[in-house]
Amino acid sequence: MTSYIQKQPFAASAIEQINPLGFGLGLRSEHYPYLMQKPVTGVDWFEIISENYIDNYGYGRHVLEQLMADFPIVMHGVSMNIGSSSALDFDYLEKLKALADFVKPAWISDHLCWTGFAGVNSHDLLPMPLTEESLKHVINRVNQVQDFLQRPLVLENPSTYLEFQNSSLTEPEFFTQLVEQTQCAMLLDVNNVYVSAYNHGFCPRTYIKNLPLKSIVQMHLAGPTLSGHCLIDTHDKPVPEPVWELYQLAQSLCGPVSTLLEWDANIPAFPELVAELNKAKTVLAGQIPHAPVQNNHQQGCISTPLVLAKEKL
Amino acid sequence: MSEHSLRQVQHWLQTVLIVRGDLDDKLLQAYAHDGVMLDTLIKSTDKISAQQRVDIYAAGYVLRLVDCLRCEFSLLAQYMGDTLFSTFAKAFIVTVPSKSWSLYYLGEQFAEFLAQTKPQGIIDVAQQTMVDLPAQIALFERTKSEVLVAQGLEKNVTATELSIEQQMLTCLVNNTDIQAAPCLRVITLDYPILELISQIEACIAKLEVMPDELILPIQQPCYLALTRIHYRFRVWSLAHWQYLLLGFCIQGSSFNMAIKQTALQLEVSSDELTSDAMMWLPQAINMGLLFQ
Ligand SMILES: [Fe+2]
Repeated sequence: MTSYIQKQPFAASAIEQINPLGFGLGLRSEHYPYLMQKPVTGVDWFEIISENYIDNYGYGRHVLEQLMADFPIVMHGVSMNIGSSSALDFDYLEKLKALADFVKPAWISDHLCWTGFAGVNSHDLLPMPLTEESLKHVINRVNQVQDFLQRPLVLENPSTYLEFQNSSLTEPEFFTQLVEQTQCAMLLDVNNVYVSAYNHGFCPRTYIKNLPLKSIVQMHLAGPTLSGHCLIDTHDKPVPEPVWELYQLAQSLCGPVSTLLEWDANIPAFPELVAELNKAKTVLAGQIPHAPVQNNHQQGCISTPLVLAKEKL
Repeated sequence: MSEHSLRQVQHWLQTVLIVRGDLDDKLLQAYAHDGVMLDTLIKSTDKISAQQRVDIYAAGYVLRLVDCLRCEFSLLAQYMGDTLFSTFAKAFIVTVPSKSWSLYYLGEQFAEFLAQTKPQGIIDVAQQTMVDLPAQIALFERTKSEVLVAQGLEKNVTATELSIEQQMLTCLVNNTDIQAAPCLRVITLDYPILELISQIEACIAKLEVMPDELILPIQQPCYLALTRIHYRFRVWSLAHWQYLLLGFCIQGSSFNMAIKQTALQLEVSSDELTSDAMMWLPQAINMGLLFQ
């Protein structure tokens, strides 16, 4: 196991300088034709999946370059593998940094998870045992990544379907200490809180109240699917009422924080996504949409689909 | 409370995900590797057992990657039908776990895998064609994926905007710095599959299943150039000498050197090939294959 290196906190003021971006959507290849034909309205900023634009010099990068002129962009990654006990992949970080030099994102985020071990990549966001050992390990690696990228890292709470027997910390406790020791920031996915709380039987409101609220710079919204006794983070449904309620609570505790709607499978037309995103504004004005949690009666629900942005044309 | 280290936990869970078999087989293999029992590591609740919880990850791992392959190899999935495609895709994922941070490399060896795992000992020509075609379609689609994300000529304003006459004039005056377009790929196949590809694309566009009376190609060498013009994918059939010539240009040879290398390989006179190549050059530039 790597030794714990105590570093000076990374630019403590860096997070405070992050201004809310408003209401954003994920950039998906399905919407490229629409985005390139019409003046884009109803959205304040875009989030890209970093891995889909690294080493990509095709139409996707062209679309991204056009949007960069008019909108703030956030880079959201799925392969940093920050929690893995294998060495950090500096080839990946090098490429991430090169993309950041091109995109000049408002911030760079990834997940509190591990994705692979000993060279293998599961392409899934796998849960961490929440132990003192894991905490030290992640603190050490976040420090290294922040030193390398020369900017604070933003980490998201993942949806989880299992808990480890040896976990001794709650996720809010883990995040609180991580943020305190590294000055990294947090991306609060309120849908993931709802999913994990349902699957493990904890109170999602207490979870949110115990987070390092001042360090939350972004929130994710998405629609999960109930499959048997488990809620799965499918990113393919409208945001349900309980998630809107948690979003309302989190925004009331954190002040205005940048909001992003995630939708990664069965992706609707762009204007429909904007309409779904606009519901977030009505929630902040005090009105909660009455959307039920949807049930899947078929087999084969996929959690957090990591969509390969297929180049079209 | 169990005292498993982070490394041990991760090795165990990854083994469960990637090894072959149903969940019981996977748990047995992970136990053999790490000596870890499921219940000492994962919590159960009244609603969901530890086994069901691990299965969400194990099943999701395969389904997610099969979906990614289906996205990259959409023509092949349409041609084979979803059930057969999924069977091969699952076998591939279990045999060749992803080693890259990027899903882009997931399908890199899929065509090779299909070629290596096709049934042997078939003597019927029609059956042989059916068995051969998946790997051929997969190679075409994989190459197309590479072309779509490679550096292109879109930012090179002079690359494709001159008329054929202007190109010819420029080439006659100076052909010393002719290069292969960075997004150009050339492939050789055992079947001329472009007609079949068009039939598959038509079925996808009409949301139809593949018809029974599909016109299948007859085995013969096929040389293709795949490239991109103004972000649009283009594929061209090539003569054998054009395939060789472009191949040498892709490897970094100058146009004149590539002509000599091609002539040598084909055992024809360099002069004869030079005149054919010079006649073809303006067209090759307009086709997005070469640029100056
Ligand atoms: Fe999220």
